[in-house]
Amino acid sequence: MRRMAPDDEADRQTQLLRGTLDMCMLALLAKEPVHGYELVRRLNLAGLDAVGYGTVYPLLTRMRRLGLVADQMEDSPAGPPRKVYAPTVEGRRVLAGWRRQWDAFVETINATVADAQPPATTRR
Amino acid sequence: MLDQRDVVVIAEDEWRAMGLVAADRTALADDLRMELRAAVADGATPEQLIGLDIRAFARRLAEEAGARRVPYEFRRLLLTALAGAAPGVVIGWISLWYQPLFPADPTPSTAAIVAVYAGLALPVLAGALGAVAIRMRGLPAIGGTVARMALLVPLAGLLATPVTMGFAWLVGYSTATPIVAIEVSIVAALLAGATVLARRWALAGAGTAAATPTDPVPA
Repeated sequence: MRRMAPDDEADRQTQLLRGTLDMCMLALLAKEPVHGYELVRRLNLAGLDAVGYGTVYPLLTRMRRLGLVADQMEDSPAGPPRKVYAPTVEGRRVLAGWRRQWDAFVETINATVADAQPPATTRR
Repeated sequence: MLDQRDVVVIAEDEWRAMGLVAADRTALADDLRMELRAAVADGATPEQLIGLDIRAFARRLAEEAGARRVPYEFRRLLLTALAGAAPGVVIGWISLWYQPLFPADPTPSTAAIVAVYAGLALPVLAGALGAVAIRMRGLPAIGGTVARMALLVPLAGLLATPVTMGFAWLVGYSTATPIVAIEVSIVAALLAGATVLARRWALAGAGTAAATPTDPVPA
């Protein structure tokens, strides 16, 4: 059987991330409100190093449009003032729902994958 | 290397090409400018942040932000007008081909010539306007568009006549296929330009009220 090439692996990672990135962003913002660029840095530090600003900033804009996050101007010790994003009350409520859904989803997938494990091969 | 101002200029250009309403373009540009300024102050370059395809980024940003688009629908408008005008063009062409226009008078007056050609152009114009009014009736400001087309398209026709005749004179009234194709293109371009102008004019009056959100990006 063909081993998964690094490119395939990256593609799969991107696909897996596609439906969950907004939840990760909301969770990080719930932990601590930050500005857009800093949010990208934190996602990278959390292990999502394929995520760039070009993806995060439009998503932040969508979350703001949907009323899940709100922004506020804050002075910066270094550089110009910047917009800091934080979840709204609705955003926190939605995040709690997404977390429950994610936990149930992971449980189902883990159980499915574990059940489908091939039996250990034995030497003759 | 692109700096933050270049990025915003390219993004604004893309938003203009997308037909976003001016207020939404300005809001997006202001936000992006501020974000880039902050990121650059942290030592990042715009290219590191956004990548090289600024236009794709701008499109995605506009869609995610739900920026409103002015529903110009130029392509549909021109095709509908063309389809509506086609029967009139065919009838006019057949009339000119099979029937002498002035059988009794070899030297007709200018007024008579204008009247005959106006009579031939009328079904073409009526067909185009009728088709647009009926086939595109659900679109914002379509009544205003038809009214403005009724004014601008005949004016474009009046302008097209001396321009095309001037070109024909320049090439010795040649009937070679490429020359005729150029003459037809001149007329078509002027009529299409008038139609586009009519739509822009109508929507400028309707303004933001006519705008619709951009298509959402699938998750």
